[in-house]
Amino acid sequence: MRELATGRDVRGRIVAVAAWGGAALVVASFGLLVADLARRGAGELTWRYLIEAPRDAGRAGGILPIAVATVWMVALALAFAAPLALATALFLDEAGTPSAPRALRRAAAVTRRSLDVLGGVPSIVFGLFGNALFCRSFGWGYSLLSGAATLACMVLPLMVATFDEGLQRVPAAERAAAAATGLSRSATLRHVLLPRAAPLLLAGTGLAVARSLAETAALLFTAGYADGWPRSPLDSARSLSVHVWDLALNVAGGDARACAAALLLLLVVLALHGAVRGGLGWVLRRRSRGHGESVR
Amino acid sequence: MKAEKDCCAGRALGAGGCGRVAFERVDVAYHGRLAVRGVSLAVAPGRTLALVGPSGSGKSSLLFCVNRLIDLVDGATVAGRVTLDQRDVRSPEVDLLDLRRRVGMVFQRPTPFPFSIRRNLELPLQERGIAARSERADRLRAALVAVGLWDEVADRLERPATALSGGQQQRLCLARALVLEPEVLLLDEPCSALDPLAAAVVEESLAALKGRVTTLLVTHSLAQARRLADDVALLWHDGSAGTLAELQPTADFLGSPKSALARAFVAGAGR
Repeated sequence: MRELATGRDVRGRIVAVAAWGGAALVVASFGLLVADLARRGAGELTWRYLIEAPRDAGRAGGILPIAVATVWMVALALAFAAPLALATALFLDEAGTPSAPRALRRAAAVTRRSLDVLGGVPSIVFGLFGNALFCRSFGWGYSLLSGAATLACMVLPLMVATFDEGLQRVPAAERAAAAATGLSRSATLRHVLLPRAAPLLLAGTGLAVARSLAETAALLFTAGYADGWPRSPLDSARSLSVHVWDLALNVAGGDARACAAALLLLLVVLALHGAVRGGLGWVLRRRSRGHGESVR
Repeated sequence: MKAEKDCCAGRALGAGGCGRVAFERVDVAYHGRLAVRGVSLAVAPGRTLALVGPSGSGKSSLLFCVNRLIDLVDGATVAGRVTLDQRDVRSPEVDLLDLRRRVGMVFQRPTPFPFSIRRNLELPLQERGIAARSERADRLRAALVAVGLWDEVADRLERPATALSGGQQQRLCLARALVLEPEVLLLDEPCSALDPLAAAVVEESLAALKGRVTTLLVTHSLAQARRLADDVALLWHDGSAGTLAELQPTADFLGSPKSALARAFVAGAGR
């Protein structure tokens, strides 16, 4: 960067200005976003706001049931998606080995392409799909469960891609060493592949959570937007982002409340980001220290 | 030769043989392109064979056939027979895990697993079904002693293996191969990625193992072959594939190579 900035030629300077400008724009737009939300919503973001149920369509009261529903929805979505994503990533990894039969490789290629396409499908389409499959065919109606299942479908391509990348980054030499040591497939997976891939498994999960938290369109058609306490997984429930959408668009005088909820959502995402970073640091420290054993 | 036959007679693969390795007209190809052609040679139990020759002459390919690590190489195909104690390692009744536990391997670069020194050695033992803690501890110690690492790491077995120096890592990998008490050891240029001092220490450990386990050593160093090997096989790329150019006891190979190729190789490498 410094080289660019002190570069003598004009082109170097243009590149430097563009690079710094781009970075500044990113930081500024994030700062502006936070500042704007804080200016308009921070006043509403009180302690009571966090622990009360909404009243008068959210114009008064708090958001506790919505926060709880959001946690449930994201947790259920992860519970659906994570095992499936891991299994798919392992399947893709297995199909990538030279000794894999041709049919397996072909199946993997088809799977990869399907996931690529799924990854580009707009969330509203997932919403309609989830509505048809989970709400109607499965008979789950507008519910937490339908919403979570739809979210799971939506984050699956993202999770598989990240998990797959994590597995692919395991050095070939380490796989060869595991094979040469006579480790079984499951032992190689448990002791070599998964620990090695752990940072990206964590990152993929974090991305999936963030994506789930941000989703609105897919949930409108599947989880609905009842703002009461969800009593069972089959109750309709409102996530935080749907709450923001509803306050901003459907509730007259709900603007400040919408900003407060959006600010809260942003803080949660930031906290999540911090947690993932912290988790990554912990995984890496643990690795450099041995396998969880204490240092003398 | 007779004793060797008796030792191996009637033993099934997996029953614990004595480690006779043989190649019979072995071809190795990658994506249909021949890399090794028609190699036949045998290594008697307990002997050390050095595979020498220029890069690309198929030394490592042959090595990878013995524990079937070649199965992991994209597009690789093998023809002919590779046998361990007279059983074809590629026959369907061979248990691959068992084969790889009987045939240890050390690679060019150290490949410790990303956990503690102790765990690096205990995991293969656990996987092999050795549940008794005391036996695992004994074997772990014996393996570390065999590679001269015990005194250096005995008080820090819980430290990450990756924190060891390159030479120590390589000796740990050797210990990891030895801890399963293999009958055959495959060494793929085990010293070439190490600094001279570390290489000398690793070589010392290898010298101490001589005679205890059948060893196939790929090396670019004739000096190393002289110090470690009973026999030397020279592989040569004849323009289409690697072939066996000469196989002799080490002293004869270095002293009076038969073929013109070997003479040139010994003269060239000796310079």
